[in-house]
Amino acid sequence: MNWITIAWPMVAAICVTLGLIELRIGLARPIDAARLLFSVSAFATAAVCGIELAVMHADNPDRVKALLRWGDIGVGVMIASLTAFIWVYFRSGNKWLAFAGPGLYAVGVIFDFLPPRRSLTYLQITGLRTIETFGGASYRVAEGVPNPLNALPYLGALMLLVFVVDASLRLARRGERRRALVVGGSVAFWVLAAIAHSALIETGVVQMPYLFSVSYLVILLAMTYELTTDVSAAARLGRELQESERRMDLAGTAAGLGMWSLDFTGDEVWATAKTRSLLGFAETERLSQARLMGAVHPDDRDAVRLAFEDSLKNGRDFDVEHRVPNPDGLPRWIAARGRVERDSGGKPNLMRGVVLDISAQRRSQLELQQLQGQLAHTSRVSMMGQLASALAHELNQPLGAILRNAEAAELFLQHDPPGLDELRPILADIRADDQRARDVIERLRALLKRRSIEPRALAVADLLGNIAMLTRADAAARRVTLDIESGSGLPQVMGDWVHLQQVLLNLVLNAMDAIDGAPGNSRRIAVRARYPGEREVEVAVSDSGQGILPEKLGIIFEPFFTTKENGMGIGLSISRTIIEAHGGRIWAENSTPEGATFRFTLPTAEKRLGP
Amino acid sequence: MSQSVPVVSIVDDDPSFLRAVSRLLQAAGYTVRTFSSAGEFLAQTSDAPGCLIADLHMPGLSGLDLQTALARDPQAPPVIFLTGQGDIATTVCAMRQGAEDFLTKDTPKAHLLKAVERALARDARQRAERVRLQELRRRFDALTPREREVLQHVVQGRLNKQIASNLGISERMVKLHRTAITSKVQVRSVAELTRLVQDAGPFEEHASTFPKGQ
Repeated sequence: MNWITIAWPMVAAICVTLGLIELRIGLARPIDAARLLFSVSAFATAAVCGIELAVMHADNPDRVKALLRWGDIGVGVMIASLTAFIWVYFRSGNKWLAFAGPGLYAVGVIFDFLPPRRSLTYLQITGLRTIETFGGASYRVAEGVPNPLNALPYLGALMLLVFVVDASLRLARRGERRRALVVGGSVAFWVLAAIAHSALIETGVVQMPYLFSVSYLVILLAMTYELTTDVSAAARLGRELQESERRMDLAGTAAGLGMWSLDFTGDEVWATAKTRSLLGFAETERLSQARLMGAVHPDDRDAVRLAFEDSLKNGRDFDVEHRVPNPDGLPRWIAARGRVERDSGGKPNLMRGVVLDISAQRRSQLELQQLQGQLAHTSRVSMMGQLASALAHELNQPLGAILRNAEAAELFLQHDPPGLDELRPILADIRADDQRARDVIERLRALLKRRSIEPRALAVADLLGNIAMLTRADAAARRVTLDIESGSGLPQVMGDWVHLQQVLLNLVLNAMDAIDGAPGNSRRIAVRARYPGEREVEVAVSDSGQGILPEKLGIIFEPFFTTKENGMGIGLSISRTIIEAHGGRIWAENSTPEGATFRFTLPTAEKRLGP
Repeated sequence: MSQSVPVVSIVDDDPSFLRAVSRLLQAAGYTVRTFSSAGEFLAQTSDAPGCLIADLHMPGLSGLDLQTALARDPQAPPVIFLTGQGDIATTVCAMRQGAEDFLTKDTPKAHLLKAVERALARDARQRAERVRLQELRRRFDALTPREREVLQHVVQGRLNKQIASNLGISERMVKLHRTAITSKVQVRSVAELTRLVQDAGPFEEHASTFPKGQ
């Protein structure tokens, strides 16, 4: 044992250790090709290290020749792997130079193995010299005639040097000066040292052992430095990631958002604590796609599944509101949103999303709906109040007729002989008028009842007919010509009878007010229905009033906007709420030559029933 | 004309009410004609005696519109308005335009029949008056221009002498004219003559000097 037999194995051990470390890192997903290439060079160096040691202790020229041959291969692998490593690690370099270095070297090594199987280094080894050195150690060096072909590997190594310097300069120009200097510099140093030292040995100027592996330690040092930099950067990133996760968690908690992701490849679900508490899962429970679906209220499950499949199939954002059963009380309302991520083949592999508790919004929405319903009802009642006298006329008509018929019957009975033949038609008319009065009362009662919107298939002509009945007397009293006509061949619409009556009534009464406020002579209201296609029916109420100021057209549907002295400004706003709840639109425009036209649309019945 | 049977015309847009009222009046012994709108009524040209029962609120021409249209016709029948409900303004307007009556549709039969009775009586009165005036006018129309001049002075209470000097004719001539006048107009006294001149009303040619009829 002497220092040589200790130092070289140590160098080899260091190379293997670092090679293993780099191999481990390189193989971790995603695979890092640069690290793998570097580990190849480290293992090759360990091998070269062993060959160097063997050369120092070889006892005959043939063994030296054989060892040198294998050493050439080892160094060749080092050169090739380092070239590739620089190429991948720096993502820069000249392609031709990259191929030239290992290429020239390989050509040289081929001669090593071609007959007459002379050593590439020496044409002939003339002898071995034992050199004593300090510490009682000794080693052998070969003496011989150098092979001129040996210039090829040197040229290859020089090419590598040029390649590394060029690649490093490019990298430095891109801004990564530290890496260029440390990695590029160490590789360049090794190449330079290896060329110079082995040239001195092989020309017999110095008599020393080969130091390829020992000088490689510089590169190892540089790469270790790189590694520690990377590790500490990763640690910092980890801390930042944690911090950012904490911030996101804070933001999520503050906003009441629960976050989740669903990995389709392994059916794995990640969910924040908030998500778990919202959906009713235990903190540690293992979740899956089926388990997520199981949390949804049974009544909403189909809708959620449809939205989910739609999102998977068509790439739309997953956006659905559903209930989650709550053992402590009313079901919780959850808004779930998500987005699918796909692999390069377009196959969904991950869905990321959030859940949000919207029970409170739902409740206030419901309360708002109820309030709107009450308001609509109040407004309807007040509108009926406006119509009261006209409606009294509607009732007085049949009642008056009944009275007259009864009186006529009395008179016929007093005739001598009694006019019994006259009685039959009289009684039939009394019966019909009684039914008529009953109908009027029934319709009024329906309009006065408080109720929510319950759409059914309706004929527009019936709607308009009833409005004609309700407003006819009022129009006559106000000397307004009411021209109500629905086009033929209109499809049925989907709507709530009472609420649509309210809208029409509101528009017609407004139109009468508009006419009263205008100086014009023509006092005319036209109500028309038509079917423009697009699965909706359009109803228009036009008046011959003054029209609407253009700047007011946009705001007349706003609540509390009114032009009437005693108006509350809720009629049109309620009309809009009703029409929009039906899935229609309502708007106003000025018509030529005079007056305003209010239009609204209603979906046809097939639209709702069909797909 | 006065012998023909009076006809009660009814205008109402509500067919059932129209039928009921016409039945009642027929049962009460009246001859009835029904119209479903004011326009329809105005389009018929009958001058048979009678009265009109009209609904106040009707699409198109309303009851008041009908009344206004009739006001231009001196032969128009008296109008009874029959309405579901009436406001004060409409009632006043109708009465001012000379409506015979203004009744609600649920008014008792007796009131309605009495109103019809009154209206028919008024129509008969008006018709008789119209006939008398026509006859009167016919008599006055028979006067010569000179006789009219003399008449003018006579009704102003002038003496024959004053009239003679005023017109530049002899007193005897004035007497002759006066005799012709009394025989043509068929009066016996100056007082009666003066009353008839007032009744006959507008003498178009002497509009400025003759007092206007009502």
